[in-house]
Amino acid sequence: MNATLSNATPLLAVQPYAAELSATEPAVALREVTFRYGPGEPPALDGVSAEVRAGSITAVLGPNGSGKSTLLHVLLGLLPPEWGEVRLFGRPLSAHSRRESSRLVGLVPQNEHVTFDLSVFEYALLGRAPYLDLLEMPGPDDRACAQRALDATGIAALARRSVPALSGGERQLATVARALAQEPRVLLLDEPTSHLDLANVRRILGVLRSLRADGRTIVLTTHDPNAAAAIADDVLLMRGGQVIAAGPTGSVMDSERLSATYGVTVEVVEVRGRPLVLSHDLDGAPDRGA
Amino acid sequence: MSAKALTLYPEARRARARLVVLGCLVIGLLGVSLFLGRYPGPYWTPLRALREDPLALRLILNLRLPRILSAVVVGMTLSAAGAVFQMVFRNPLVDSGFLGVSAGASFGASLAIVALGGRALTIQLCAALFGLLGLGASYLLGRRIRYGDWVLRLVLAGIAVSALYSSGTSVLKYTADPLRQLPDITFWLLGGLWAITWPDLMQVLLVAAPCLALLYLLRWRLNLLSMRDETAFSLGVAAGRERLVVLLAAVAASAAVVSKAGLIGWVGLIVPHIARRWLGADAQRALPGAMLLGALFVLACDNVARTLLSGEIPLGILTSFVGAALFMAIMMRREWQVRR
Repeated sequence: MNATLSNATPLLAVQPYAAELSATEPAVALREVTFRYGPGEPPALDGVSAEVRAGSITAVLGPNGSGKSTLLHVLLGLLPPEWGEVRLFGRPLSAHSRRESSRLVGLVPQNEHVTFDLSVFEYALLGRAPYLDLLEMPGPDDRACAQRALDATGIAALARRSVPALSGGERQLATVARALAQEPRVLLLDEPTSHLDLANVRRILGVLRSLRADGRTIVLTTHDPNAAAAIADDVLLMRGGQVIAAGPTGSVMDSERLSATYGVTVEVVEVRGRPLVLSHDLDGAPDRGA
Repeated sequence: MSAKALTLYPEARRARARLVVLGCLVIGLLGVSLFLGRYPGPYWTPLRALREDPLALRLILNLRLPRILSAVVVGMTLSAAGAVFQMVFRNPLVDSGFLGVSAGASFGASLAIVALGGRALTIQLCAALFGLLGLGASYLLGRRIRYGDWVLRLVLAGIAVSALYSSGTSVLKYTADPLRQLPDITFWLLGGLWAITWPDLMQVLLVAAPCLALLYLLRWRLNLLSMRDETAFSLGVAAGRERLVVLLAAVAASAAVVSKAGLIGWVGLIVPHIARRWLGADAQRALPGAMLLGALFVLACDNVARTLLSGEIPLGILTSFVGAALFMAIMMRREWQVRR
């Protein structure tokens, strides 16, 4: 770790042990994963199998309560599946120690609450925790890494501002920076665009694209099909804890599948080679009957 | 990549400088406090008395010094514990007085005085045990309350648990022997350091020093523990286990202090606030800052308590008075707000 950091390498510092991870295997693979929040409750994930290609952006798309966030938490290891297996770069998630997997996978939660007035920089520095021993304080290398994470998310100018005082979009970027300071190979984002205005959505998506260009694998959940269509290489369509369809964005997102997923009639049109979803009850729009 | 992060941001450098200033202030006040007192005359023991009056020297070494050091330990412990509670519970409005710890410790100490013979060790153990129980009960109750957000729920639960314990303490006071036990309980509840001797200080330090050292060493991680569970987990933190460790350390140290010094209120709530304001919220600096500020605060209050009048003013009354006044002043500041 120190070698890669002190040489001021770009953000994608491939960890020594991470280099041993298989490059051909999918970054994340789920096989028949079932999860329940309590015994006797209906499964929140019901036999989910999916693969995420390394270096791609995958959107987990579905209505509220379809199991998207649960899926993310299972990928993270926070929720142990009742059945089935999660693999990271070909190795079972359970074979990675907590510390190892926190160096591999970073999380941007849906509503990150920062109670105390940490500065953006101090907050980003928390991302160095997987590399620090229990009694260790972050050192110059860690600070440099946190600073690179701020640079990569374009919020270096906010470094000294207090996180709770940031606007929604800035706070989301700060959270991405905090996760980036972990130097993860896989970045999980839970509804990263859900509370943001257009300009901030574009800003976040731009950052995610640049991270993909760095070779990172990105998995994000969203209930907004247009956000998924705007950025995702692959889409995982979920409903009721099950995967309805998975594959390249253009082929998965069609009117029929999305209508079935959301339970309302939507129309998918193609604009500049990308799907655009019209969900409003437009005058003259064909009603295909949900 | 900017070079500045390799060194430190100005805020961090300033906070470091302020920590050094605080440390010097504590040492300076320690020195001055040795000469404050009501012997031979009111307020001040002149230097020459040390050479000429053997009683003055004995008094300073055997009575004032352990008491002054105890004030420092009490201030450090209560402030550190308050900072830990606030961070672990992600709630800037809690301290041991609000979480059932103090009320539990009072009940335990009263119980030990009334029913268990009142030996110092028994009081200490009972105070620690019931303080811990109070914390656990407040936390569990706060999880189950169906009103308000987390900040409010935990405060409400702490109030309820504290009230239960207080009623228990009242029952004990009612049944206590009015000549032997009741004064003990009452003075204990008022809080004060007049009875502290070297052996007392050593007993407190035996528990408090390792706990404070542990909290100090883990100070940066307190930031991680103030994050939500999913974030802490994603950062590789065993949040449950680490929170338990720091809470146990904070409660054990508080109980050790409280069992000797009685109830010293408001220090744990107000001092961490001031420390965060002055040194920034990063616990790497805010925690040592709170410890030093707490030492200054309690030492200054105790100097007043033992010097101002010919009789002793109970320390707990002074800290509560000053702490509550400061709290009101801070709460009314416009920029201060509880963020959930």
